[in-house]
Amino acid sequence: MNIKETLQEIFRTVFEDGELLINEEMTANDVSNWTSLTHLIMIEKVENTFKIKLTLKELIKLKKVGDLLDLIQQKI
Amino acid sequence: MEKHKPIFFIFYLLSFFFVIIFILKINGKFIFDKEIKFVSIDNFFKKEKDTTSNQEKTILSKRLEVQSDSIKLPIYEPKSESELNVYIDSLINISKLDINESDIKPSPFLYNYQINGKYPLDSFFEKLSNSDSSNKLFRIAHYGDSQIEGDRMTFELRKLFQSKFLCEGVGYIPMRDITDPVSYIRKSDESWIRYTVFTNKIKGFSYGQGGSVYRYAPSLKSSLSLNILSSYKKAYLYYGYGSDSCILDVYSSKHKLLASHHINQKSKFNALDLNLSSNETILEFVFRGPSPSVYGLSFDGQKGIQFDNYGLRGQAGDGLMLIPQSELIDIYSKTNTNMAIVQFGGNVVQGIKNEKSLNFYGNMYKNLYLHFKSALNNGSVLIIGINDVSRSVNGIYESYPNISEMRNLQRKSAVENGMAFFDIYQLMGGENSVKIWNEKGLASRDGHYSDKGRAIVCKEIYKALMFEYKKYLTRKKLVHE
Amino acid sequence: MNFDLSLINKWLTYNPSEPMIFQSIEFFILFTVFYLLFSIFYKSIHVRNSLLLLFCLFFYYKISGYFVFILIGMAFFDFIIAKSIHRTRKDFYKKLFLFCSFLINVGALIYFKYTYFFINLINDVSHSNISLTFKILQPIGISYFVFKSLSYVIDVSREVIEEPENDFKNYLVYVSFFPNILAGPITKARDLLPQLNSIKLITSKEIKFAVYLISLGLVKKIVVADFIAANFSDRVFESPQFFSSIDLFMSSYAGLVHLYFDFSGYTDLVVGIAMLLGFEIAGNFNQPFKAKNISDFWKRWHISLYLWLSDYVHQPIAFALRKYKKIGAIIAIFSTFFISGLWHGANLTFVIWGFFHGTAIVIEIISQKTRNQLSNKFKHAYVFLSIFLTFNFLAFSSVLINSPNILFAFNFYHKMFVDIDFGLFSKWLSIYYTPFTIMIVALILQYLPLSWYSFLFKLYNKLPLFIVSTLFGILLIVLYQIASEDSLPFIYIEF
Repeated sequence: MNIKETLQEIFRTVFEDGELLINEEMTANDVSNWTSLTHLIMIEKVENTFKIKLTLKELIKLKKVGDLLDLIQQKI
Repeated sequence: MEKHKPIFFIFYLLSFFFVIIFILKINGKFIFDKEIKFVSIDNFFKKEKDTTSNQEKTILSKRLEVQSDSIKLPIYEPKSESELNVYIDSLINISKLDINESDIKPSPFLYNYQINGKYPLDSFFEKLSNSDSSNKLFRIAHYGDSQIEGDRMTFELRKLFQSKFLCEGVGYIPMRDITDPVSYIRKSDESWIRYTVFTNKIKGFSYGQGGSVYRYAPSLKSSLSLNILSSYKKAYLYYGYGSDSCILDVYSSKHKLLASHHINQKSKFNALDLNLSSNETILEFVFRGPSPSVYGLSFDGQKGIQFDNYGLRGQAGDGLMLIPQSELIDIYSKTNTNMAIVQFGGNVVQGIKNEKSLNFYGNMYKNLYLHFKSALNNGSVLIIGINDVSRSVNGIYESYPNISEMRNLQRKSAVENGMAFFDIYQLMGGENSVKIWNEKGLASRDGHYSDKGRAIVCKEIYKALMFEYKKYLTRKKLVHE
Repeated sequence: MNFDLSLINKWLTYNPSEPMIFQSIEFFILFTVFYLLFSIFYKSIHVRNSLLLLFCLFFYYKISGYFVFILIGMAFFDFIIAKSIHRTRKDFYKKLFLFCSFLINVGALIYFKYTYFFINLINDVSHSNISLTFKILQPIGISYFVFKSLSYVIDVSREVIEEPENDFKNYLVYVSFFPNILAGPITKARDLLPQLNSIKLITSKEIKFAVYLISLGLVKKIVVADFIAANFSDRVFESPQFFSSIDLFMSSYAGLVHLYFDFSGYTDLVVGIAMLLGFEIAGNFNQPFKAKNISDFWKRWHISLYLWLSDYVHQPIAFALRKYKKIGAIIAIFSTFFISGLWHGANLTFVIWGFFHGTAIVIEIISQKTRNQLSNKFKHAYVFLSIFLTFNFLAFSSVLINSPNILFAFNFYHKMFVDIDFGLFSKWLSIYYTPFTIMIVALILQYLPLSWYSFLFKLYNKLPLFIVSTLFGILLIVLYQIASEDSLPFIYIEF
């Protein structure tokens, strides 16, 4: 599984939508269960799955799913 | 092409106001009978802003003419805001201290002026000086508006006198009221209905000494529970028009029967000694049978003095004149009431629009005061004058303009007719003082005192009375020697 | 006719008992003079901003006296700190600088605003009797300008602002910007600073929109808020012991309505004045009474504060506690509302009010799934009930905001819930008919569809500037009449 597929799995479990397909341009507005609470749960899962640590500063700069993918790529 | 427009906007707006202010001069003009208030030319060229309208100003200019004819009464100059602040701070500081002998000084606010060789408060002082030797309790009826309702102010005065003259009790308790009282807790049955002399005037019906009567008819049973926050020795029920089948049972908190009475006297006013087997402070009263006219309850000491609170929310006081003179005389003698304190005025300030209305209310108070004066025969009457009340003018709170005039008229009526007068308005600091009392947490803007404010006022009244009392005692000693 | 020169002197000097307010003739005249100059020199950014700075500092001096130097000092400090944070490469120094700014800003806020609160708290808890030998006065608006300045420094350190401001003059204009210095909105530096660095043409469109906002603000404040407060709610909250339980019950609603119309009216006025100068600052309210729950409410009420707290308080705490999932989220929410409560006022009543709101949001998080199911099942009824319950929660919790202390609030609640007698309602209505009608009409207007308003606004926008100016002048005269009207006489429910 590549990064994108793994991330998609995380999204599907956290946002409780088994059919969710992610793309680079996707934002929180496109996913119904993506709230400030689930956002952090998702981030925490990303950190555990990819064995990386994100900082608040990096988190604030994330605007869309593509940014997150790039960040994970950089950190691994 | 879009253009930069602010200069046009400023020009349009300024021209509009120029026309309004300098050409049409709309300030003071009338539209549909309404006076327009707006910036006038004077506002621009004068430093002092003067917002009182013309009608009100004419009364202000009469200030000097409403002085008493026979006795010279002081004229007060308004204090500046900083002077008021200093003055009111000093009142607060004094009120925090206990009252010492040295605080009993002549008060510029109490007028106990001799008339026909007699001082208005002498009758009260005589009773007071005999209170130790006499084994009979004498009562003082305190009448007033929302400033005193729920035993407010009366409670403070009672407390001060009780600690000096060693008496107890809370005095008169109405069966139902709209405010939470301060000296007792009452839960009354829904069936109690209050009738007042000024709203339910029925010929031949009696409304008691406070102008209120309570009945639970058409129901045949009603109750009332009380928690009296004071000790007492004697308890009374005031009622009229009893019936043979009406019974009152009084229970203790543990539901022990303390007393049972037939409420069967047919006369207009009866003071029934409840003869409770123990003087418990938590009590339940159960009435059975057709409702009598209940005026209220009273919890008192064996002797000494008692203050009764008759607070009438929203009243100017004139309604009390509807209680017939003869009834008052009868009740006062049955309850041994020898003095009245009459404290009204706050509810008429909005009505004073011109000289005519000012004189109307002035006359009304003169008649009201005399109503009590003659009912008490030889007893004392203390008039507590109007207090400062504010209203919003252009969003800023300031005093109603004619309060000092109203005070002058009240003072004149009292002093000229052999009654004592306490000038609560001047004690507060006079014009615009309520604003500062409000800022310092002593009163609401409409002039109702807070607990702190009330304590200040009552202490000052008490000290002023005590000074006059001291003077009375020296006078008496001189006569006897 | 003699012009009194001392009048000008009076206009220009600070008088503690008469701080300048927007809705005064004095402000109108001074602002007009400034506005004329400001719009003449609009093409030169330098002159325009210098004039603006002068007026901002003068305005602050007129409301807070020599505290203006504290404002300048603190702004200068943060200006230098932000530059240093930007310049240094080392993370440690960045953090150290940020910490310094935090220390100064929060320290000043605590000193000026909370010293008495903490002393009283310590005295109450330990029964001691500590008192200060000097008196601390508060620089007006400190809660707002400290938050503005802090947000700039944090944003620079987070690199949300990539280039810190180079001109201290502009930064000082941002911190002391007179429209929002008294009570917000807490405009972010990244929104205002770019506008200060560009030329802005103020066209009819801007002026008309500004006039619309100013008028709306004044009507909300004078016709609704001030009227309800002066004739009903303030009286009850000032001395509840003189009022009946039904008065208290109704005044909890009136208190909330007053709070909203006063604050949102004020904000409209502020945004309008800024717009008149060509600056766009975001408002604070978005139909809060349409909120379906409390978290929804906080996205619609005092928005600039909510965003500030969410960015700089809630987010860091929630992020730090992300391992603990829901527990972490709950802690973050309570901490945020605790700070929010304290920020609103140095009084335990505000802390408890914040706690109520925090609790409501935590309950929302826990009940999320159940509520989703209910919402799908009942749809419209669910929406209606949610809005109704939220409104009532807001009204009842706002009693705390209007109470001077906890005991007062407790007695108030006791009387309005335990001793309530709804039988007195018709009597109440006959006395407070006018304030009640104003309150109901004002509330109904809140729930009308937005499209109706935008239709009216379009019509208004077609009017020529000359007509708009004249209508505005007439409105000011009418409002002057209402404001100078005597308040209604005090009448109490008699029974």
